[in-house]
Amino acid sequence: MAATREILTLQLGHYSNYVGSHWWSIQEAGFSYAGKPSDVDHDVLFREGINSKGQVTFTPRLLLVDLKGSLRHLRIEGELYDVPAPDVNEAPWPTEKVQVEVAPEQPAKNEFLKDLESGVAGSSSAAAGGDSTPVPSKVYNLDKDVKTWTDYLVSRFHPRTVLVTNEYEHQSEQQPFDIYNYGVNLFKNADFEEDFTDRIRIYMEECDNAQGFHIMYDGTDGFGGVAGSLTEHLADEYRNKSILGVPLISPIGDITPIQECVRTINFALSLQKMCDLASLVVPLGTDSTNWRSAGPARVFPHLEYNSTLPYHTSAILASAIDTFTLQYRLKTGFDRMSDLVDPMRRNGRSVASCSMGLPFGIKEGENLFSALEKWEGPLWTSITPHCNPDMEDINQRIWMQSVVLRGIPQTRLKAHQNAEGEQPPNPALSCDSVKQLLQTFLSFSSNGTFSQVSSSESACKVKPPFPQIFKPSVAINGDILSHGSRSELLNMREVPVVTSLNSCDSIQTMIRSLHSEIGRLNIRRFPAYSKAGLELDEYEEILEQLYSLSQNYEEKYEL
Amino acid sequence: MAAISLLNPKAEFARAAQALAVNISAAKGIQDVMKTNLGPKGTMKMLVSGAGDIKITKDGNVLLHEMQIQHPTASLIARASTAQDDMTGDGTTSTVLLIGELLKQADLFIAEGLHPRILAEGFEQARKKAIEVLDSMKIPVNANKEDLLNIAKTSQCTKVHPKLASVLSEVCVDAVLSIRQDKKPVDLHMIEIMEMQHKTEMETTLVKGLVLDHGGRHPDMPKRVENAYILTCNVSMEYEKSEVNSGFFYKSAEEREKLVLAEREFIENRVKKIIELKKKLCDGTDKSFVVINQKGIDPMSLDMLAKEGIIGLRRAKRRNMERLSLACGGQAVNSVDDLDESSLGYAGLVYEHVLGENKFTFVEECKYPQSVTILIKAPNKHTLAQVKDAIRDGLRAVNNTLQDECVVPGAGATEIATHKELMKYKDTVKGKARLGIQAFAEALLVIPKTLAVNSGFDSQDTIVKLQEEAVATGEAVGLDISSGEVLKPQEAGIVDNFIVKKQIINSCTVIASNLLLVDEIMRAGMSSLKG
Ligand SMILES: Nc1ncnc2c1ncn2[C@@H]1O[C@H](COP(=O)(O)OP(=O)(O)OP(=O)(O)O)[C@@H](O)[C@H]1O
Ligand SMILES: [Mg+2]
Repeated sequence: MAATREILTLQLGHYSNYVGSHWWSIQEAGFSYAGKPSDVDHDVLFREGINSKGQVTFTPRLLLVDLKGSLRHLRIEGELYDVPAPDVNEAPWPTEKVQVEVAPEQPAKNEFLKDLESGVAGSSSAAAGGDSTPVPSKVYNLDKDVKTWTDYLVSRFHPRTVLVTNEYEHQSEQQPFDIYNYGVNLFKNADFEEDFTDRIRIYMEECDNAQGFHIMYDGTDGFGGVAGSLTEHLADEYRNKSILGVPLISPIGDITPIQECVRTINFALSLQKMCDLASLVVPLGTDSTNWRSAGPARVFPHLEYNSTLPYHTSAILASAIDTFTLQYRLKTGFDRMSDLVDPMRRNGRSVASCSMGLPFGIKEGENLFSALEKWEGPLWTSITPHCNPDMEDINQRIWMQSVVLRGIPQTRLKAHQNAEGEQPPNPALSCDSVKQLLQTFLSFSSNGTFSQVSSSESACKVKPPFPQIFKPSVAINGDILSHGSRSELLNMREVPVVTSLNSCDSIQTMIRSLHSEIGRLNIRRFPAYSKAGLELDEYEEILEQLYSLSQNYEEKYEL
Repeated sequence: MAAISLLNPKAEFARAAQALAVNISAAKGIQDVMKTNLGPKGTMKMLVSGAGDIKITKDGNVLLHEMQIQHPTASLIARASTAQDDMTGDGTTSTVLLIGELLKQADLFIAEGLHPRILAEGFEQARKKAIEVLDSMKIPVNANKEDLLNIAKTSQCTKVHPKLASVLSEVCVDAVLSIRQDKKPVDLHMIEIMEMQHKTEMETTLVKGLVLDHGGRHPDMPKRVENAYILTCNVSMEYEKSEVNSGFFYKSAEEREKLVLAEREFIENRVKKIIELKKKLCDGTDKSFVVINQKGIDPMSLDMLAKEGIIGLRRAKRRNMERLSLACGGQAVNSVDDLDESSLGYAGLVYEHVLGENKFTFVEECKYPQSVTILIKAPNKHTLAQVKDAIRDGLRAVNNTLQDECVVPGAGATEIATHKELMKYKDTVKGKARLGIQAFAEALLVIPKTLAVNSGFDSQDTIVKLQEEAVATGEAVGLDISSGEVLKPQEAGIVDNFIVKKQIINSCTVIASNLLLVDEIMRAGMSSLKG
């Protein structure tokens, strides 16, 4: 079965598109046009096409949704297929009766976008092979310039990709898209639904061997409702395809207490729905806790990031998604998405948490064996709010974890064994692949956790527009410098990353706290829900199901 | 609220007056934007987004969806107008104009101290009378092509240039007539609208069968067959890893392989059953076989079909399952067990058309197609969208006519006549409510006035001419937009849908009254406006 295992990715909502923008540019930076081919099978997430001029295109197999007014410089149809220039004479109507209305001038494109257009930046460099000596390149700081995800979008899209709904306006105060059921209702709108599901169908018709869907969605606003209804459609129409749901939790920002409650209710409603229908749900966010008000931001030992900037936090989440999905999109492996999600969701444990080491944190000149041997503290940081799985805590249970380590080449596995016999026998020393070594390490350091391990030689590409969030002690190849710091004239290039998806009892803590948080709220005090069609008993039923979901994370003694 | 008004009755009154002023100015604002669109001589708007996306439209509803409407009153009016479109497919521009004008007229009286509640009462009386007048102006219509072409053409001429309007009205009428049965209006879902970015909009046509937006996915599949059996099904023909297969404990590679084979065989058997039927029915004859599946077909199954000369299409639209059996006969099946000839449909010709990376499959020469396809062609996306909007309007206009079994004269005729009748009627009404009736009558004239202005004529002159002629002849008279003179709309073939006009009068009265009785709305809270 060498056929491509295609996946269709869906991004629903503004923050999801922030994450997506980063994700696609990380992937495209990994295309190697020269030198050693990458072990990542890009055909899984991209599609090959042909435009009207007969040129071959390679674009994300992606469908994204956002609200009116959110795109700024991005054309809905993209630029690869046909570019009709606006022309008054084109409207077959008496010219004096044609009124042209040009939207208010957009703020100028930022430096990065301008350079991208003129081919200076982001030209998926031939240096992607990775061995050339670093040359100083333009260093961008886009922290202040990025107002929306299109401000650093490198990828060019297929005309089928961007779907903007005219029903709601981006950042509208009059009629915000902030209630779960608004999304449910939007999906009931016949035109929207037809357009949406038809685009999915056309993508799927092209696939010979599709694995399933990635659904990244904004979990705290109306897009949760879109995700729920969409998943219902997919589960019905594309039975047997896997669905990975990734609710994303954006930085909270400056909001009123009411909005805080509404966010939490939305999240609970969509989480319950997704758990019911998707194969696996992995909530992601960079704050440690999130109901109502945000807890302290997650700390990564080698990062310095601004936890209130979507541009920063979305880059962190994107590198996690790019890494943990590698398990089923490597040229060297045969795993399908179902090999990840089906075992994980056993016993109805349909939520998994995610932890990540960004960068993995291997020191300059060190090999993997000695790095793991000397490792102190946890390998990774949790990026699922309220979940803090800890392998070393004997009071916690982690039933299963799926670990991906990328960016450690085989040559860096261990020191050449010349002194055999002199060392105490260490079974890890007989491992001859990154995967084996890590598997062995994990089996020693965790208690009773079933670990699936995958590895890829391809590091995560973090050149611009990836934000500058790495501490100066991180070298451009992701190694941790033991002294000195990275030159400020150089852009980061790539970093090794490790991720772990966990099915663990810490998820019960998360769901229980969510349940009790919204259990304290009186839904009648938020009439927008009932006006938008949420019945009281329906709501109570959802709460109950949320609770019974949490019960699936109780230890049942199995044979 | 009650407590406050006891303390200071004036405070509330002042607030209400202020809110009313706000409502009126918002209604005027949105009216100004939309005014220029009305009628065949209205302005075409070309909207260019910041990034260069284009939208070309003259349609009120489309524009309202593109506009950024901030003011709650304006968005209430916009929503009334959208509701008008949902219900009837037309009359959205008129709705906005009429609500705005009702408020403007009311404003004149309120300025002289008339209470809004009395005006609203007058509006209600006028509405009832107006519907009576409209009823009396009905022109009965037979479901013949000529009559239906009039309504379709009137509608299309307000959306696209006249040459294209002729093409599109023809297409709309033919589409509806070809699938209509028992004199009933048709289910418009059974008219598929397919877009092809190619050639020009003048080549938009009606296909008496189905056009699908996909094709065979195997190099050896035939690209064209005649005399074809059509099997429509919803049966997976792709190898799926079943749940058992991806267990928690890893099986050996061999075990895995075995399971894969078993699963594969299961799917293969499905395909074999289809092939069996094809062999039985087609081998040795000049007949051919086409499978149109709502579910997937994987490469191995495609290969099996291709070897037998069968065209196999996968992932067909759900709605096309129904359309296919209406177009070709037969029935969509959910299983290939017990498959026989009776579930198959028939098409004289099935062929594929490739356009860049897009494929289309035409299923044509059906015996008694009860589902057809309008194939829109245009060189770019925005023209495709514009033509699609126009066609939707046209189809609804034709269908409304069949439903109503009548039309009413257009070109301002109903408004002139209703104005005349209301002015007579008002004199028979006692009390100040008659002022409301008068305001209502004056407001109606906004339609012929705007038609005149958009055609380059003076609105006062035009109204006077029309009114004189209406009184003199006692007949329905309307505006000739090319000469500025009077014409008889029915003779000129300018007719509107009865239901559209009726709905405009009803909904505009309700919305305008609500906006006048703003203090009550304030009591209900702004949230009800957001509703
Ligand atoms: N050839 C014509 N001569 C005079 N008046 C016409 C002619 N064709 C249509 N009209 C009038 O134009 C009006 C309809 O205009 P138009 O279709 O632009 O607006 P609408 O129906 O109110 O809104 P929508 O934008 O939803 O279609 C009707 O009053 C109709 O009678
Ligand atoms: Mg109209």
